[in-house]
Amino acid sequence: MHVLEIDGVSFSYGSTLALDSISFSVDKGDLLGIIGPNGAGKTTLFSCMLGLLGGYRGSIRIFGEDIKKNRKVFQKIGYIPQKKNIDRNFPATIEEIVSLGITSSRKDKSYKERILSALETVGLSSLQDRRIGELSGGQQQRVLIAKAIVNDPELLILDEPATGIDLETQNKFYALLRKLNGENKITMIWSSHDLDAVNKLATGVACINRSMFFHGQTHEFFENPDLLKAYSESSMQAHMHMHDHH
Amino acid sequence: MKQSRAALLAIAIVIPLAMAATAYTGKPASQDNISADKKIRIIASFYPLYDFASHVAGDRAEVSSMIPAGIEPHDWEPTAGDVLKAGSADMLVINGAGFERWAENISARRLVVATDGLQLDGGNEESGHDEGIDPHVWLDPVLAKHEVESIRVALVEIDPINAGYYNDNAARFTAELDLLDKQISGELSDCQKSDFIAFHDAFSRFAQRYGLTQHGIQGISPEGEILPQRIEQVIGLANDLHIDTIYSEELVDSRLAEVIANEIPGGRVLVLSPIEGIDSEEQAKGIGYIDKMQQNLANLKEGLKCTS
Amino acid sequence: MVLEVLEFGFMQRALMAGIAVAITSSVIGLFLVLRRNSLFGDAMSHIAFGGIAIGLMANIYPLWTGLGLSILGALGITKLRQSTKIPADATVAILLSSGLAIGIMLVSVSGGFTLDLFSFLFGSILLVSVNDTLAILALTGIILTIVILLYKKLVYITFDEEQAQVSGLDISRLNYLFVVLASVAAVVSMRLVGILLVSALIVIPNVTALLLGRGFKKTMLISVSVSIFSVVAGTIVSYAFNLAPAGSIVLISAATFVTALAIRFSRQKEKEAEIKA
Repeated sequence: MHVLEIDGVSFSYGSTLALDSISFSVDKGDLLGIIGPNGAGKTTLFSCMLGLLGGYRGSIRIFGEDIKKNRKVFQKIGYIPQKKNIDRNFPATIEEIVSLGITSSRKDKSYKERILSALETVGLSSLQDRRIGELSGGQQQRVLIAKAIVNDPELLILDEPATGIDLETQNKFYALLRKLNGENKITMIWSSHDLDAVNKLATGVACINRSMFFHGQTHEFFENPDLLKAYSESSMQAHMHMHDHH
Repeated sequence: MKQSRAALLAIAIVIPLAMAATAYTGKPASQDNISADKKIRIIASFYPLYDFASHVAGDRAEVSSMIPAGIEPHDWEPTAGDVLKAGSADMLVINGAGFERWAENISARRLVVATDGLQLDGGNEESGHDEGIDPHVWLDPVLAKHEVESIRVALVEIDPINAGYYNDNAARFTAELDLLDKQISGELSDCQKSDFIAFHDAFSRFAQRYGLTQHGIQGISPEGEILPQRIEQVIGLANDLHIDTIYSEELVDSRLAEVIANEIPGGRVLVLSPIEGIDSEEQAKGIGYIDKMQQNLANLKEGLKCTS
Repeated sequence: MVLEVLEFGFMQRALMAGIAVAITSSVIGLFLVLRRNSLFGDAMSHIAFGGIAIGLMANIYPLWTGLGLSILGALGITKLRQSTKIPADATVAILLSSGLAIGIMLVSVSGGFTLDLFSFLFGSILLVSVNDTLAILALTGIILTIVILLYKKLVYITFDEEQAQVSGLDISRLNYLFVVLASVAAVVSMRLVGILLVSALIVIPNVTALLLGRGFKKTMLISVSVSIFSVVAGTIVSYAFNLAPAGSIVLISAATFVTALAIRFSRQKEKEAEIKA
């Protein structure tokens, strides 16, 4: 059984086709890097996978369950969004934010331990009593990872988690991903603009540009100069396209 | 004596106003005559004056009330439409004595100030009102007669052909007021108490006339936020005087009276209407000033423990 | 002084009802403030005004129509916010002015109502009856129970709706439930103790607590404490100096806010000095 199976998924905003029959699957232990130029439909694809957008054609299965029919499967996944501006005055402590990730309502003895160990994994256990709003952007993203892993997910979905974070923190962040995938054996789907990082970390690559452009092993993509050239050209186009608009 | 002075004053007011109207319309006031079949349009500022004017004018006039039924008149302000309507009416009747503060901004063809000519002294020791005058003149049936007379004089002035009709109507209504006055003094002659707690200081003239003592919860106006010590004072007063009835009004939130009644032994709330307006239902039923005064009398007799 | 205040039933009820309103307003208010919906209370009062006018016009007990229209308005705000991405404050403004407009229109059409609309809509803390007090205590109990039961979910949707949704929460149902709760609390409280008190207690104690508190729960407890303190102190002050009670309570809560601000500034200065040293 695949951890995640996406089968012929298409999605349109009105008459604009944003995703054109995308199919791929992820198996246990994979770290799939999803790349593609701006506006290629990565965020739309993630929204469909996360159950935030319902109007797609095709099917999305997580652990064999259609996400439209059984929303409980989402308890098995952890989600880390793009960096957001968290209200500086939001009063919750890091510990309280991480506790939001625990889905069981029972507050047994291990409750606090689980929170602490998640914070330890992301290297923030010394800051557990600080307000989330007081932290730096990179620290906030690590809190969100702790919140995502505290529930022992079998699949982590990360939507450009390192965008907007300084380089040094990014490297720590990538090391953390490697650890979670390597030591904790958590399957991951990770979208990124950072090709170097994807090259170093991912076990597989899916490159989408509305439709599936490439899907295979990481080295197949990065060792193929034609693919890389095509990717950088389409990125340039998207880039220029964006400039035309602004 | 009083009445002739009132007439003089009314004339003194009406003539300059008529001249002003002449200057305004560009034709003499006498030509602005009322033909035999056209109804006079009278606008009264609020309910009792509406009732008085309706009685005196009978079917010769179309009387309406400036402040709509069911509105508390103390803080009422006219709209632009009201001002225009008042300006186009043949006669605007107001109470005066500072009750209609908005009236100075209204130009009427004929303004009748119903209390003009009355010697209005303070009448009300507690009041913090303008010039210390209690404007609730209509609650004393004897003074109400003067208001009726002011309206009669003005009507006879602008429609002399029907003077006899107005005089008859006024005389009939005045007789009813006399009767009301006698009824009140008779029925209040044998009571255990002479103190009553009214919602606001509207009844000082009434109290003076019939030998009673009024205590108001609020001041001269029934609106404004209540303060804790005032509630306590009123409770103390009720206990000292062994009063068990707290009077409220129909156009105000009765919660204040209820809170006080709750704190005194056997306390209850009854309505003592300042007759500043009646609701549309009462108006439809044709309940008038005299009916409202009789309701007040019945409720007062309960509170004052009257035997007759 | 305190004992003297309690001598009278109306003062006891003022304190009890005031404390109950303080608790609900500040608990509900913390979520409202963090969702940038501080003017919710005012919006509800304006919509209730329209609803009460409808009730008077249609001869239905006005509190029910006022409450009904407020709940519809609150659901409308939520629906608009979810489906159109119009900023929350703008949706509040739309409903606020529409509610007021309905009221004004109906008043002008009817030529005035028997009962003063505003006195029907707004009470004073000094004028609550025994039944009113019991009602507001029961309502407070119900609201606190629901908030405690749903506490984590409410915190989650307040922190981030999208993440809450991904984790399996039915956010639209939670949002609807919350605004219904908030509108009932706001309208019933303002009918009993006045709009000034309700809209102030929704915002001021929470902003004060946000300056001081570390942690969601702690902030909520600080806010409730500030709120209760303001009501008790304000009521005593208003009694002692014969001042308007709602005004006294609001000014005392504003004073605690200023104090908290001063504490926060001095703490920051200390920190800066430490860093320099």
